[in-house]
Amino acid sequence: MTEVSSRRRVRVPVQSLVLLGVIVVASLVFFVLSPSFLSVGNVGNVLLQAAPTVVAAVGMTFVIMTGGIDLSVGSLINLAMVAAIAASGVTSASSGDSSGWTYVVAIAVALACGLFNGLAINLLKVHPLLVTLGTLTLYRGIALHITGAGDRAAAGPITALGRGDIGGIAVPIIVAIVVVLLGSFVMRSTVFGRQVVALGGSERSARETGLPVRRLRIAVYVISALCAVISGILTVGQIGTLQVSLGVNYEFTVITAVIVGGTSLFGGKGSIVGTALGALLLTVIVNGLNSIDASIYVYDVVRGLVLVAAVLADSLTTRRLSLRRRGRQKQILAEATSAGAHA
Amino acid sequence: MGKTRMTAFAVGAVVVMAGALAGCSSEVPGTSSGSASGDDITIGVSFDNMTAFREGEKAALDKAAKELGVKLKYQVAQLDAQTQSTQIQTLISQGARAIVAIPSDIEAIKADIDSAQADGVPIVTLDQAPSETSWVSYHVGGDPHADGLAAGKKFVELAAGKPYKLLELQGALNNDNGIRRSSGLHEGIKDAPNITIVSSIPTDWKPEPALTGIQNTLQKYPDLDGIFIPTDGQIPPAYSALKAANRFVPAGQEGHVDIVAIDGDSNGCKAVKDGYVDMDIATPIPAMTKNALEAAIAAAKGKPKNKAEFLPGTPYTPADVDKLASQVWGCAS
Repeated sequence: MTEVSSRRRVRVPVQSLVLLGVIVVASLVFFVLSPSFLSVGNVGNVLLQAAPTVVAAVGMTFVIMTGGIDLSVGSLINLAMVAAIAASGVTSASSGDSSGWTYVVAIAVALACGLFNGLAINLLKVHPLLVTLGTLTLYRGIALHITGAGDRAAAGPITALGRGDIGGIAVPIIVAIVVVLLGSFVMRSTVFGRQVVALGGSERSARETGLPVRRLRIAVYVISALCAVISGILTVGQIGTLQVSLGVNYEFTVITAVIVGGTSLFGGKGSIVGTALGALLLTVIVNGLNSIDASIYVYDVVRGLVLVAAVLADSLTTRRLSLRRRGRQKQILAEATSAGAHA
Repeated sequence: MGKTRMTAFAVGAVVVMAGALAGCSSEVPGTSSGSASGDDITIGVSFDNMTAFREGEKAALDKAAKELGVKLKYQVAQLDAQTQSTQIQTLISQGARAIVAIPSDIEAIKADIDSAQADGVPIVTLDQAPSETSWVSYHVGGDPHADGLAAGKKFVELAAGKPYKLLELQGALNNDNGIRRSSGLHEGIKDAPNITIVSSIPTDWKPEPALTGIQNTLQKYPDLDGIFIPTDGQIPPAYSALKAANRFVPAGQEGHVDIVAIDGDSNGCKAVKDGYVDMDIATPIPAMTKNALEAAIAAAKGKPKNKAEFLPGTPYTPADVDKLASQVWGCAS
């Protein structure tokens, strides 16, 4: 376990550096094509636009690190925000202010959904993919039931986090940085974080060593839900409206950020910083394409190519590291054998 | 954790969710009964999806059904052609004499049309045309190209011959309405070389890409002159981006960014009344839905209309919004 952890600590920065390299290269290409891309204002734009995805992806990283998956995040955001705005008494698309209780209701509903996901996975003993596929439909269905598919205005206190700034830095950026630092600390430096990694590495071993597997699983889905709703609060605050489309396919964006960030879909391997960089890369691509006034038809092509490049670069680096490590092990073994023969 | 405690937690979670719902009003697509002054015909309605716009169409269908004395049964396909196919079969088995469908897939709907016709149940399409309108006994929809064209001409008028930087938000690349609203806009400004579309942003009809697209464009072109918004649901994010760039100024004042939008929902109506949107184009939902139901009833009685109608929207501006409010479905909600 100790050996695995120490190896992981060495590997994470390398993966993140590779991803950082991809982001730098992509940024330079966009900068050459459109010098305004790297202006202070636009860099702030990129960070602001990446913030909600970064936050949701940090939560998803905990889930995927255990070998699980949460397909319900987009629907969960929708339901939590719909319930919160409905609780404020807002029923119109074009008028009505939310109340200060919006945050409390949104977080409470999200935590309940996360708890429900975790408990259902434990009780039903089926793969999280199936359970959260079900809750994806369930949560969106409940949200649709509340609004009757109508839009809702998002004004008043609900916009404070999404649009505020502290010392000239947008609040969403600050929130994202705090969530990344906190998530990274929990994952790397706490017993809980190490248990999450161990559970993803091998559930059987985790059980045999007496780890609280069920409680861990519930905890990661609750963390995912909490991060998702914070992401939703930032998003709704920024756009100023709540629509049926909120969170549709968002799970794919979030999962893509996590996977591009180097976290294994099979669990037990990954990093929070990598996840944040993955989310940043997704935003850089869209922002860059906007900046160079790209044709509307090339967005998906470029996005796909850069993501394949990122995964390929990561894969090559990982393979090279693995070969180097294996070579070093062989060398140590040969030296040990030779020393034994001399003795 | 024991199984009993976990079950208790699961029940608790459900209770909390139920509690959150308790104080909320509910409204789902369901059944609408007519006044039965007609022939007591049941018409099946198959929606591709539920959105605020579809909710507006449902309300108009319910109202028209009442006037025409027919009963409606709704199904929503959640953007899945396979689901829509099954739901159409269900509607037929539940006694629908005709179907009003908004196709989820404009090609795949052909098989459903053929199958329904084999059962003696005609299908008319509403809003979203199938690939060939000859497949159905009647189609009625808005005229997205004409709406885009009207928007383009408005920008030509607003530019007044001066150099003009325009941002185009594009609805969706895989959707007839998105494509044709865009082509109409381009045709509308083609004879105005002073207007440059500095950026076209694909949005998939969502507000989030609209927000980031406007933010990014304003960053690169702080002197942006106009924004084409293909759906009124993207007006709130446009406001957010303009506020952040200190360009949220009503028409007629220094720094105003011209906005022309399409749909005519409550966001659009309010924005025009407030003077921040220079022109909105209201899709004629009441006329579309009533025509669709009338055609469905006629087809059920063996008198199909055999034609397709594309009704252009009603443009309205801050100057005439009060006069035209009765023709704008969003002004009534």
